[in-house]
Amino acid sequence: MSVVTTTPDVITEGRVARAETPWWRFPKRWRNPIGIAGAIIVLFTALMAIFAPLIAPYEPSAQGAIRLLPPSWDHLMGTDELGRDTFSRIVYGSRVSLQVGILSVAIALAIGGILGLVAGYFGGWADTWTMRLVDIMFAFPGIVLAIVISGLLGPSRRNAMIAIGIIYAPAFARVVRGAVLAVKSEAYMEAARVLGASNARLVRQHVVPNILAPLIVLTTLYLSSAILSEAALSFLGLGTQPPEPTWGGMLNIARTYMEISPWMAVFPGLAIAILVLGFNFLGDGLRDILDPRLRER
Amino acid sequence: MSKYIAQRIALLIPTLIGMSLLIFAMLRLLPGDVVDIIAGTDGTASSAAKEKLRESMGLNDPVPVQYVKWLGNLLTGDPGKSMRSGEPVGEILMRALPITIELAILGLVFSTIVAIPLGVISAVKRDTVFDFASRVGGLVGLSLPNFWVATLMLLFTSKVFGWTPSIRFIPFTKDPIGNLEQMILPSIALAIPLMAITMRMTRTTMLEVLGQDYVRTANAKGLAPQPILYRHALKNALIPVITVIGFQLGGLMGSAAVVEVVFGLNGVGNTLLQAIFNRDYPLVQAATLYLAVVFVMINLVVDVLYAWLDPRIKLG
Amino acid sequence: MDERDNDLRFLIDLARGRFSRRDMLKGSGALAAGAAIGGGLTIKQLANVSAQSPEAGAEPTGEVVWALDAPPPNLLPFGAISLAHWQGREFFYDTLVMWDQDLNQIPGLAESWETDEAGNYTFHLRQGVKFHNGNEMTAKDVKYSMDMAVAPPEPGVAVSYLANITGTEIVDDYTVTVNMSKIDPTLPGTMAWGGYTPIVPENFYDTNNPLSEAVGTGPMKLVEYVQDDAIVMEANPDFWGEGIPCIQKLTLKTLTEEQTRVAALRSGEVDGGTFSADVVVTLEGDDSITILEGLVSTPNVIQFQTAEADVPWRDTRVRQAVNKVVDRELIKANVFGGKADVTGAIPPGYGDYPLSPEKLAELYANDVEAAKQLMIDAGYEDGFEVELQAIASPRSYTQNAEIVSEAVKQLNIDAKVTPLEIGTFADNIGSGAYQWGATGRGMRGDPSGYVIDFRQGTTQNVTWFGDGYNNEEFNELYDQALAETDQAARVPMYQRLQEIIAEDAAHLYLVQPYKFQAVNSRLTGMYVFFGNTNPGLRTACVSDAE
Repeated sequence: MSVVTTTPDVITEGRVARAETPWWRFPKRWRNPIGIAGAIIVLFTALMAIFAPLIAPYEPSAQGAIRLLPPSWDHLMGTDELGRDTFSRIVYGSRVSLQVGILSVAIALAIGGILGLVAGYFGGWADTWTMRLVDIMFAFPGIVLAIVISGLLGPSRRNAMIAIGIIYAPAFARVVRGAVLAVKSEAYMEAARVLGASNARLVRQHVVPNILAPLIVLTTLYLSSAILSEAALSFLGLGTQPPEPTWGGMLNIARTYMEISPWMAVFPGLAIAILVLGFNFLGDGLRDILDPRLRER
Repeated sequence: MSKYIAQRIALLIPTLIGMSLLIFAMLRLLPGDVVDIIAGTDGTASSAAKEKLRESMGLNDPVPVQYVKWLGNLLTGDPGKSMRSGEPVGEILMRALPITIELAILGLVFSTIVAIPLGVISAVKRDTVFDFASRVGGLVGLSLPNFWVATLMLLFTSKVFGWTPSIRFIPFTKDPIGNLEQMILPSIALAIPLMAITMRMTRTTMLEVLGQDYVRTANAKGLAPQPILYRHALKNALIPVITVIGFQLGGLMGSAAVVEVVFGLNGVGNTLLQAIFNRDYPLVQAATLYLAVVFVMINLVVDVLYAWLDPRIKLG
Repeated sequence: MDERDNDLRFLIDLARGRFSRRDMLKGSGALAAGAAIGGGLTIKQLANVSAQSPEAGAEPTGEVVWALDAPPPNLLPFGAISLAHWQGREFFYDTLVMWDQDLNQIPGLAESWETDEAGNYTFHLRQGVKFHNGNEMTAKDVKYSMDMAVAPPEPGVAVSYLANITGTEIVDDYTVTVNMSKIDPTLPGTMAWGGYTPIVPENFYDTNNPLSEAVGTGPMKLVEYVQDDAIVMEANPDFWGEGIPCIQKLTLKTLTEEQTRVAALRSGEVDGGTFSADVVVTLEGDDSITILEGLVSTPNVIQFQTAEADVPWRDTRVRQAVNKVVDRELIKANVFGGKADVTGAIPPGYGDYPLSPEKLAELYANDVEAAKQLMIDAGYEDGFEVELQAIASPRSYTQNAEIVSEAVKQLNIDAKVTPLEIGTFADNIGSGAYQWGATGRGMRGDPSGYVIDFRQGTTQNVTWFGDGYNNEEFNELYDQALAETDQAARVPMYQRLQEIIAEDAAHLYLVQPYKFQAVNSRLTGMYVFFGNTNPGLRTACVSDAE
């Protein structure tokens, strides 16, 4: 195996030697404005999702109003092609977008994490074969996988999440494997092993804590990709399906009405962009803060 | 080095066999087949007639038998024919290939020529407004859905300029200007999300290099900042960036599908999509396998290139 | 007009000058030679001169690019059923009987035809018709074609519409008799429909690759077929129809994305295509674009799978209750922007057969209280859960389903909408693997085709209805109408058949959307055809008035 991974973002980035900076240049690691902005956006979206029934003025599927209304006090973001309140749908849609992001990355993390851990920790035969499998998954065009899964199980939110999770898993596997290899070579691991610590204990006490930082960063970054991927799948008719309100799905439908009712597209588009931006900011910030190579400095 | 390359190529074989098995099995699990597409489900065709067609297309054979047949043909250089038009799959892919390759390369070129200078400047002027703005700008580009950007571009140029790219592919060899005119919008649409990644990468590696001893030494020796930047720092900083760009190329081949659909370009992604929707198995299998081979090959080349550029990295 | 507008216009002109190769060439009077792509330029210039007088005998001129929503899978003439197939090959082939714009049967390759008492048809062929390969069409070719149509070689699939044909006999060079196993009034309509009985040269399957080559008598000859991308055609100078074709080059280009079609139409890259009602609005007010509107045979329907035992909707009262809460006017307004007609099984526009709007209004009257009572009578006042599968694209089917799903909540029915990609949907519906389905019917050559599925024992009836729906009055009347050769006498029969379907709510017919085609104004003579193909392009002309 080569030392290079296809997701070098986390591993190779952040090897930044920090020079002394004047106070007005955000010197302290935790005083990271981009990261904080990201955290606020994500937190805000999470609150919106949790309290959706309290915030949304209408049922997201209620078709009461005149269709394609422009924004007004009754309908803050206008209404869609079936006369549903866009604002309410955006509020409820945050649940889906967050859920898709979190669960699909969780799937990727579970599959990829285990594969990477096994490959990196045991090495040798296990490593070779696990990484072959990972290579196969990596090289498999994501779009084929997504179509096959949604064709097999029917296009739905759950299946889109499974597809996205499987597509992202190899990236996690590689990062985890790389990190484990790095940790394994550290002196304290040798020491612990010599002292007779079991495999499980070694993994639990030494490996996992040390690979947590790159994983957290990778996770945040992939959360944003997952939300975008869900939107792209909706575009191809394979993602979350109407009438369930999702930002990607709303945006896709809105393209038809882009000229006669642009606000229908503007708000879900903004919502996606802001949340994805939030995760990207958060990931960027966390990378600056958590990268172990930075921590020592 | 050559031993390493040989080893990598040898490892390709099990990977590709695994791939082919996976593709084959997954497609056969999909409900519906090409017969439904040809015969429709309106009740105009009897189910007996459809069954007969399935039989003679070999769709009723056990899946392992179908797989072995297909693999056998593939090894003798025959990836099969489209189940719809009967055209050899190889010819279809050869037609689609130049479009996707050009799109991916142009997309990379656009993203690189914008991202590397921005990344370098960001690093040099670290933590300034410029740095902040270009990082945020890059992330915004990364946060917009691709299909949305592409559609907006098309609508904008058609509405404001009364112009859209040609809808039939113009080969570069026939009409270079017409070809570039046609490909510029789609490749920009493809480039936008890439810019952020390349820029971020350039910025961090640049920062890293700038912090290293020899640069500091050069600085201390009183060398002017400009030569340091270009002679020492940039060269070293770009090594990992090149690898990232290389990997992007592999991924782009597959992910160009959405852009191809919006711009009506008949590239590999679009072909693959239509083939899947029509359950055109031989075409799907060949296109997927082809994308996978390209991806794996590019990764191999990038790995080798990386090792060659940066002697500190050991192979094996 | 303020300064900003002037600025904008300046920018537009500048951009046009820079970007549009076509405009540049036009401005400088340059003429490109007939290369594959630039070839249209020369022709367009010529069109300026002659398109003003597109009369008989004039040379075909000009180039038209037409956008298709879906790629034609191949050019197979026989036994290929999907609409996309037909749209790809309709300009290559003619049939013995044809339809005019209003679905009247008119002579095609047969100048006249008659039936005997046994129901056999004799066709008198047009003389001097030439195939694209230069050979004259005679009875031999017609016999070969009809034989192929009845039993299409693979990958074609035999269709039930031609099942009553027992054989075709050559009487003389220009006369053939098609023998029938029983009286069947549907044959001329099925022929006119065009998709099943194109006339090809004898032994076409032996001399050519029928999947990717086309040799017919039609107004256009094949130049190039690129799968999933485009079909390029040129005028057939020997075409038998007067003044047809008027255009020299016709390209069918697949553009699956509607917004792409909009953009390409605006920029002049394509000359026309089909658009949804909501999108066509955005094209109004553009001087260079003409919007055509017309009825088209796609009755949208919600169908109930009653073959499965124990499902609540096997009870007629449950289906009737659903019928009473589904508001067709709402679907018409919200899904189709008002551009649709409420429909029975036979859609408005199909001759005299459809039910009148008044009758439909009566059959579809909403009454929530009565509906709830029906549910109570049926023992389902607490409702039930059901999966409502819908075609995901075009989206209107899913939107229909969403509205129905919202409406039946009033009856405590929880209808979960499951949009499906067309391949999966088609398989599920075809094999009966669905509970409720939101779909649409296509064109039919004969009114019987719209109601055949409700006749107990027919192919699709078995999988869709089984023993869950069986109306004796319907079955008898259906058979009676199929034995009646007097077309006028068939009208009331088919109307009654449709009433039965609506009364029993066997399926829930909803609305029939209008079809919109937007064309570049230089394209004249185009019309929206009822049957989902584009025969208007056969007679269309271009005038370069830009």
